[in-house]
Amino acid sequence: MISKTLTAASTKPIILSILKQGNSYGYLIIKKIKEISGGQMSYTDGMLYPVLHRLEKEALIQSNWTVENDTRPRKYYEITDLGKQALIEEQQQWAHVTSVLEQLWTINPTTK
Amino acid sequence: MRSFNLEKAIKSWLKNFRKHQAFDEGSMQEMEVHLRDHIEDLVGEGHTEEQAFDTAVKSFGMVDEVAKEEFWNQKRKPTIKTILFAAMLKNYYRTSIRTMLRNPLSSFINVIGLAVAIGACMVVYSSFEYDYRTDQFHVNKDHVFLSTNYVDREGALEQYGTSPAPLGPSLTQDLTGVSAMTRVLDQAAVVKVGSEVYHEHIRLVDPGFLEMFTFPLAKGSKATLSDPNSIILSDQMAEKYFGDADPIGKDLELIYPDESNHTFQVSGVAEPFLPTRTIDFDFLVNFKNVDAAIPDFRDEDWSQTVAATFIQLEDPSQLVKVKAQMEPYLSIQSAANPDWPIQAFDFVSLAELHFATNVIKDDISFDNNAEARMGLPIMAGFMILLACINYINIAMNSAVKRLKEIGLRKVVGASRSQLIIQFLSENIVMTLFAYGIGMLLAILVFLPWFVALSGDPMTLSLLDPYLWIFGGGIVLITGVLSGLYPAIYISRFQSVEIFDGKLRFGQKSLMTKLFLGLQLIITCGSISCAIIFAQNNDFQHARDWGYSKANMIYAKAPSAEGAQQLRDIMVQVAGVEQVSLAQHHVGEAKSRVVMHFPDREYEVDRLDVSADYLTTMGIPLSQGRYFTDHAAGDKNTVVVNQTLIDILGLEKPLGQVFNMDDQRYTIVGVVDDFHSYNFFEEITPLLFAVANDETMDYVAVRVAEQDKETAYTQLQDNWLLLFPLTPFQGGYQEDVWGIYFSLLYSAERFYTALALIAILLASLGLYGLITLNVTSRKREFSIRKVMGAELLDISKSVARQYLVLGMLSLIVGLPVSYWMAEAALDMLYAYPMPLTVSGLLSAVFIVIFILVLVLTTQIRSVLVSNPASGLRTE
Repeated sequence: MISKTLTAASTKPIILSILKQGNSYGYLIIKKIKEISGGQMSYTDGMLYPVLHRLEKEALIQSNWTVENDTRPRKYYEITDLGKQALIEEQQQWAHVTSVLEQLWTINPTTK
Repeated sequence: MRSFNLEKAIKSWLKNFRKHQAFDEGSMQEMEVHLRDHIEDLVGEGHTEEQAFDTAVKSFGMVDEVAKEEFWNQKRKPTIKTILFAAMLKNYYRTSIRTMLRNPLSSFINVIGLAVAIGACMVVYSSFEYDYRTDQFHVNKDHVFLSTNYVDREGALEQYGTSPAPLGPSLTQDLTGVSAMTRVLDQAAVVKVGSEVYHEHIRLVDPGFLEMFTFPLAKGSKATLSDPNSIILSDQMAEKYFGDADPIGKDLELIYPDESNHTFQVSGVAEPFLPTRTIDFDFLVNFKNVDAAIPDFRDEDWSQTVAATFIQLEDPSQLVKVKAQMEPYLSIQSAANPDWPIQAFDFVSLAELHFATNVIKDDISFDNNAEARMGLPIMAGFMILLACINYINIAMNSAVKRLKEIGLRKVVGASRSQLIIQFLSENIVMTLFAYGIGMLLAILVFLPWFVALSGDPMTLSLLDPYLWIFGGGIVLITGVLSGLYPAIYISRFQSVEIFDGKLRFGQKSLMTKLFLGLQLIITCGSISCAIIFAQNNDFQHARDWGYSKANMIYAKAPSAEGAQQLRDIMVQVAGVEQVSLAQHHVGEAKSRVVMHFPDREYEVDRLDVSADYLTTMGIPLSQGRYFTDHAAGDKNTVVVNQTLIDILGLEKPLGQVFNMDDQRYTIVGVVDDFHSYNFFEEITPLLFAVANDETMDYVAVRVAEQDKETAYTQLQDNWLLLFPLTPFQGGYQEDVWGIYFSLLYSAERFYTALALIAILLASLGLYGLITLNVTSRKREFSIRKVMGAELLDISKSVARQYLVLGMLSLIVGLPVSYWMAEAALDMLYAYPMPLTVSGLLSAVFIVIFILVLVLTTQIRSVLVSNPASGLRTE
């Protein structure tokens, strides 16, 4: 199980990445995260929404209410150009973190 | 088993969200959809609805935490606070508009009242702005200084703008740092171009004049002022004498009073002068022409004066040094002119001259707007105060309609300060409206009107940043001034009491009464001030000049012989009763002399006249005798006016002996006081002496009233025969005060209009107030009517409060306004109208009339209303 702090920290790039693949709405986003992480990332579903709203306020994503195929109206989120840019930055940062960790873990400790 | 209702469950789950202000409707709907999607999926997987609901809710998480997150998320943004505040203000703006629309009558009254007051403030601003621009366009205004001097006049030091003739040249010679200097001396002359002749004033100046006063020239060069034979014209004069033709190089002939002719060549024409100038010229010639223009002028003589001396310093801070070096000139001057010893010299910079001009006597700058500058701000302040108090009263009364709103806002958690901010911002929105309308009023109505009255082309430029600062200040001050008390008062209410119906709105509260009383007092005050001012204008208009001005005409002949010829012809004209010659003439010309008594000296006006002048002018004698017909016998006698006797404290004036110009004179007669100059000026001590035949060029003609016009035409015709080369110079005696009466007339219209506006504002205010009061007591009146109340009962119950308060405030307001009007009149007029009660009585009458009128309409509306409808509404 992935820790809460790490989950929280990774929410932003995860959401942005999911939305980059295509527009989606809250419930579907959660479902996808759960699927991909194999249930390793535990979310209280509700917590997603404040994050979505914050990202929207930061203009990284935008939303509109859409009715599709006679289902109930849903609020679809779409990544903006600004969001794509932010995602690239996030990717670089995460790659950096991973590389640091990898280096630390592959090199054997020389000191005692 | 109790059946599970999914819809109900979802609804109650959603209710949790509503508790939190963090979520808007959209977010809640979004989360509802989320929950439904999840439940649908779970049901699809084979769970029961109830199980699915429980699982979905559980995995959604605690609402509180989500809400906290969302809320924190909102706060987290750095500008979030300002956004929230803006949103709040936007809401208040909306509620303000709604409130205004809900009470159209009181809003209208408030807005119009404030708009008129603000409009008046804008005119005040405009007139101040105009004054601050006056004479400020001269590039060297901070370097140029007018030399002034202090002279002891009967124990008081008076500042004069004239200076001894040699002062300017001495300063440039003796002091360092003086980069330019000009003397200014004006001389009347006849200007002749071709066959046209006109009386004009020539300004004699030193070449530095145009460097110090940077009037741009349209044609020619400033340097030509050094040439004694060149003349520079104003734009107006160039137009008058040369029309469209180019005047440069053309000849202009000047005829000085001694009838000598001099030809000048036009070497420059000024651009049209800005309206914001008080010092200008028609014709400029080099000061060297003074010898020809004024034969007895000696420019090395310290007893001779010039109209002004200006110096320009390279460094204005050197002024202190210059002042310190003025000492030696004092003794030179007082030796030369012992009757006029200068105590000290001083300098006033051109930049500050306009504001000092009313203090400095006889300076060449002027300021005829001083009266308006004092009166207007007072009236504008009054109007603002009246409008604010109107507003306070109406706001506190209309609060009764908003009690529930206030209660509700408090219950849902509004703090008192939030309520105060709400009401204040509502008020500022309203003031902004008023500001907009007031601005329009000022630009479209008030300002053009005021410009027509004052003659100064004042403007309001929307591009002027200070205008906006001033306007913003006015909005803020009026908004807060009028709104603060109602806001504090209203926000104090306890919601429990409001809903309980316990709270009786405080018509009986002391403050409410105080404000209402204050409104009535100010109403009464502004109405009576306006009436008294209008009355005073009538009074000034009708005031006796002290001599028979109505049937006098006069002329100033080019020479003494000419005057005698004119007299000889005029005595034969039909309707002419008496003709006299004089060297000076009342309202036209005088000289100043010093009377020497053994124990003191006194400066007075002197008029040299023929022996029969006083009877021709109809100046009544109170003691002694007029001059006798045989002038020679009265060579050393004088007739004085009453003011002179009063000021000198002469108990037995007749036979009193004194010295004047080294000759001995005796007072033989005393005449009643009369006004030589307009009523703004105090009557000065004055004496008449008998003039020599060869100096008298004024012809004063008394005619029968009905023959005045024909005699005047005869006077002009005969003039043309006798002096074809000199333009006619003379007029009706009634016109010697020039624009004074047109000023008086415009002031009269001004104050009448102010009175009307004050009355309008006051009645609007009262109307709004009483209407609100009656409306809020509709239920009470309906019950009274149902119970059988008669006209009288209802009238009593409506009117009682206002009549008592009205009387009380009249008692307070009348003395206050009496005192204020008296102070204002004293300040403005040398001879204010003795205040009578009639002005105050008319004010009382008007206030009572308005009060009764408004009350009657309201009582009528109560009487004709159907009690059923009054009871139905809440």
